[in-house]
Amino acid sequence: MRVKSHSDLLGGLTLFAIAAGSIMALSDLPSGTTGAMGPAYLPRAFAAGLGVIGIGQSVYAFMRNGPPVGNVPLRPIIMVLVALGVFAAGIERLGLLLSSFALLAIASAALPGRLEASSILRILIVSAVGSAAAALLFVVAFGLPMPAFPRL
Amino acid sequence: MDTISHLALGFGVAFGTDNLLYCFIGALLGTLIGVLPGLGPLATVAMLLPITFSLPPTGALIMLSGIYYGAQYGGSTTAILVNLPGEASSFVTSLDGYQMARQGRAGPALAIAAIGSFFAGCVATLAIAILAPPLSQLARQFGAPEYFALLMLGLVASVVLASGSLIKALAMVLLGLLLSSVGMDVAGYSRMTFGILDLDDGLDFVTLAMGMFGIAEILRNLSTPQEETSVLKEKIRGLMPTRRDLRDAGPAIVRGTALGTVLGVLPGGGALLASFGSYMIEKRVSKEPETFGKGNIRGVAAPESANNAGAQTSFIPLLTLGMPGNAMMAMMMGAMMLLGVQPGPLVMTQQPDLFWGIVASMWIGNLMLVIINLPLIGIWVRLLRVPYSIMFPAVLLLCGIGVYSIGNSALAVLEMALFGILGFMLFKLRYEVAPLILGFVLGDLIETNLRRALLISNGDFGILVKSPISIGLLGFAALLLVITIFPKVRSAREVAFQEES
Repeated sequence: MRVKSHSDLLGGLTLFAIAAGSIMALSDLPSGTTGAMGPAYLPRAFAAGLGVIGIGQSVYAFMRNGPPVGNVPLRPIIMVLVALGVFAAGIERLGLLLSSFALLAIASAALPGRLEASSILRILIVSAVGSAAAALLFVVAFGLPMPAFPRL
Repeated sequence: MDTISHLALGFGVAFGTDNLLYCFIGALLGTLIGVLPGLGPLATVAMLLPITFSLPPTGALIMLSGIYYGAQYGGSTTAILVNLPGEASSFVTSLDGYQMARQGRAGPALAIAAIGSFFAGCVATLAIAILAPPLSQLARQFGAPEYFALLMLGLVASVVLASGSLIKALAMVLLGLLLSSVGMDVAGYSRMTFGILDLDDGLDFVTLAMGMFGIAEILRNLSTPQEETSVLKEKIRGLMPTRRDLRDAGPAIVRGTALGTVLGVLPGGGALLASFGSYMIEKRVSKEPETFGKGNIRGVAAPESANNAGAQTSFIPLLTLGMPGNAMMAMMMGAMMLLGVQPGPLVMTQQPDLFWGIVASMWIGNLMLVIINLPLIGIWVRLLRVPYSIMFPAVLLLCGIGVYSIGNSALAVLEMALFGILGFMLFKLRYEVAPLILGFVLGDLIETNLRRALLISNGDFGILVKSPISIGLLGFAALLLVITIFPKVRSAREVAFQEES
């Protein structure tokens, strides 16, 4: 037995995991009957369908060659997640100016390639300009209800 | 003539100063974001959705459709100028459009795209005005079983038209349905909320769409090696097409418009099929098919007209039947529901000024695109020269601010990030997201109608195939599936989608 298609296996297992997780999360809700459906009737059916396809895809992965997954660079994913996470954590207390500066600066590091001192300086300048523009545009001009500056 | 009085009502609404302004802003912003390489219309509309929410419903929807056409046109601009189509349907435009640009004829290419789109917009607006009343009349006879059958047809069409494996598309529909059932059901049970109170209202549609399209698209672009984008170095000489250009392109525009208008109405139809189909037709009827792909103006005129006509007539099933034919319309439907408008046959009778105002604003939006875009081409070109390393953090920030501003919820920003990563993973594993969005938007309606139908029949599934309307709709859905599974169609479908990737 050799895995012939890693993408099918990974996809199949992911689907199966989502389905299994959903069915577990639904475990204490009633299904009801077909004539009088309970809250879990259809979600269970959807999850069951998803799980069957997940198993099917996983089995299929041993039988037929599929496209390779290709390399998944982790850096952009992590950087984008961190950038948005910091933004979300900061927006209410630190205000739009600082949190968007953080988002822009962190996200700029998501591009592959080594960060030289000169490019770091450039990133900081561009991020500062960008966050000032964002604060002016969204808080001052559009009047969105979010603070621009840190709440002391 | 009802049609004329309806349109008169609509133009009365759309020509109001406020609405005219919303339409203008929408078209401008849509083009501005849509022009950015790598952001297709879906991502653009998802990103700009939040800014419409503070407006009154009519104004918001007018702005939204402005954004949609702007995004479409912006995508074509990018396809012509940098050969970086944001989505499959503008890929066709890039075949001849980019070649024209390289020959120094970017101006005429962009102009003919705008003129063709405008002509298509006129015809499509008229088509909506004529077709919508009888269709919504029909839809008013729908009970729960018929509506359920219609929704099934929509889902099947989205599966059939997804590129790649049918099974994977089916899995995505199911995942969308499953995600839509998060939150409270009609009887007040919390489902799959893991005790998080915010989730009782269900997952937010805009958050999902922005994650799956906006963030995932950024991740996609970041993970593919950065190619030197070759933004046109040549100066754009002369904007106006020559008389010969117009003579060449004219018939192509008419043919493209006709095909697009028809395909747009069909479930699952819309821009993509229309632009591919019309390009193929032009190549077939041309006396010199070998010039296609080398800068033939018809290769720009036909798909752009078809694309736009289809984009517009795909509103018909949404506005009259309440059934979105494709992912973009699913997004429109999600936005409408957030604005408190339930798309369906009742919109036209209960809110005629909203309905006809939107229809009229489609025409105005198309006119504005011609007016805005041609003089602004210089700005778009400059925008295209902005390096990606500066552009994508800005786009990410726009997504973050946008999704936060909907409900001032920091949790929504995190949700969006997670959906973005999920969307990117699905893309890497060759699952298409469009059916997921359709399943997500239709999930509640499917559940409500199925539950209602089976409650009436006391659990007998026979009620779903009792009336001729539901038999017809389900039969059509079954036929679509069977046809797709046939080996011959299957290989043709694979070829068609191959060309696109």
